[in-house]
Amino acid sequence: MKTVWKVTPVPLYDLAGLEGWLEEMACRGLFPNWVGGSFSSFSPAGKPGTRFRLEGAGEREQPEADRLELYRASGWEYVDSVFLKLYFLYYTADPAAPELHTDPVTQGYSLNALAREVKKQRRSYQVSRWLVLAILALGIVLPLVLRPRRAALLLLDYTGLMLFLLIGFFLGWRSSERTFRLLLDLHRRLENGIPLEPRAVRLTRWQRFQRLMAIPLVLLVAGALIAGRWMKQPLPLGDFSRPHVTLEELEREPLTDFMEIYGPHSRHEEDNAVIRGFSLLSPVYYTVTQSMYGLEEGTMPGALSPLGGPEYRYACHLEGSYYHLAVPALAKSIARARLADLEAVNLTWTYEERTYPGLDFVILGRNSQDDIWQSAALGLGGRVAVFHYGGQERLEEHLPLLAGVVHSFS
Amino acid sequence: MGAKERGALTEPMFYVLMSFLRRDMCGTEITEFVQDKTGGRVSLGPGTLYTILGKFQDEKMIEEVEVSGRRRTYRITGKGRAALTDEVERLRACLTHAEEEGL
Repeated sequence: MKTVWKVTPVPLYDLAGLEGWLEEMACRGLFPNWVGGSFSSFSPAGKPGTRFRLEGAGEREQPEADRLELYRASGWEYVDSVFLKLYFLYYTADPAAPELHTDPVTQGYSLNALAREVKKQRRSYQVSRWLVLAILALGIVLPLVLRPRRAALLLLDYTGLMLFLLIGFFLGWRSSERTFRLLLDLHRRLENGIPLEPRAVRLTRWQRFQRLMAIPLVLLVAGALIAGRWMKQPLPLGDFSRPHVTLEELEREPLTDFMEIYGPHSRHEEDNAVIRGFSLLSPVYYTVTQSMYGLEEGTMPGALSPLGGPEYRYACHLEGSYYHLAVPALAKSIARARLADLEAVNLTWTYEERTYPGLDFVILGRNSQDDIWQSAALGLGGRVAVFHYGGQERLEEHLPLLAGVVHSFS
Repeated sequence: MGAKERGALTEPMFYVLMSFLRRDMCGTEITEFVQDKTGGRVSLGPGTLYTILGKFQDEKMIEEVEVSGRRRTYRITGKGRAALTDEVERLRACLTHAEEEGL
């Protein structure tokens, strides 16, 4: 027999809504085979005027035989359990059959077990959601307390996928609260003698939109998660074309990479790579990391000698982070936070702010322990570039090169 | 007015309990009794009847006396009779109050 699938347009605990919807389907010639929380299946055996009624299943797998006998004697037949054995569904096509429940208080009593279960479920939902919120809050507060200078970078971290997930989390919370309340309110009304009002299901435009958008949204979030993971994978620098400063441009002597000199080595596979990120605050941002080496062996040990190789070779390192912020006012805060983020724990850094033609700010960072590691941050509008460099050059002497990149990226 | 304020028994509960006063009864007999007694004013749906019987059994106000096939017969207990008497007293008091007020 032909099966027709429909989206179940009512929440789990809307008894009157579900009964009304099944009756509406019967008027269209459809009889339920199976009713689930998201989808329901029907056969074309429905008869207009069929009444459907739900009863809480409690802990029973099946309705009692004598109950079925009593119901049958009054014209009511059992269909099946619905919503994963939450309710038992009965129907009658006989207009003369008495209503299944004629006393609201007694009907309320029949929902006692379900109401207890819902209260328990609601409590555990609330506890788990508050727990997730507490962990999230801790995840936000702890970095603020431990490394307050990095606080602005949290805006980048939390205005990407995390923001969407948080919105989804709160919408889900609200929706489950509403669903729980549907049954608890109904139970209370019945206990107070107010009968269950039969009603047809009419989705509001917003509910229709939500249902239409639910699947694309889930796909979008899943896609964003996959894309996020993919973007976090280091991309070989050779495959990257966005504006960035390279060590070859910065250094006065010719350079090559570790692989060229010593061959493949697992620890140096990502020496020259790009990691991209996404955030609402900066829809595109990326960090380019480079480690290069002199072509010839020297006579003095190099301070940045390559791991696993001879130490008499000049080595240099550059890490450049590039942001195009949607809120230019945050440019300097992000730049300072990124500078702080790049500080090595064993070095003490001092920063000097300078003016530079065509830029909003230039911040140069030095450490008091050595002359090797330096940093610089440059900003123009929402465009920010932050560099962390280890090598023989002086970053302040290369400001035209660094500024040129800030001007060129969008 | 809510059921709790009205008293422990709703009208269908009251008539179901009353049905056992003269003799033991099964489900269909109870339905017929309530129908006849109230002239159809109080209707007893099968879901309501089954739930009331289950509740009264849980509260030891009635007890099962015979199972013949799928037919179950019940009788009222002392506790059930006391609950019914209390309800009658309450209704009688309501009636008296209304009469005192000139109804």
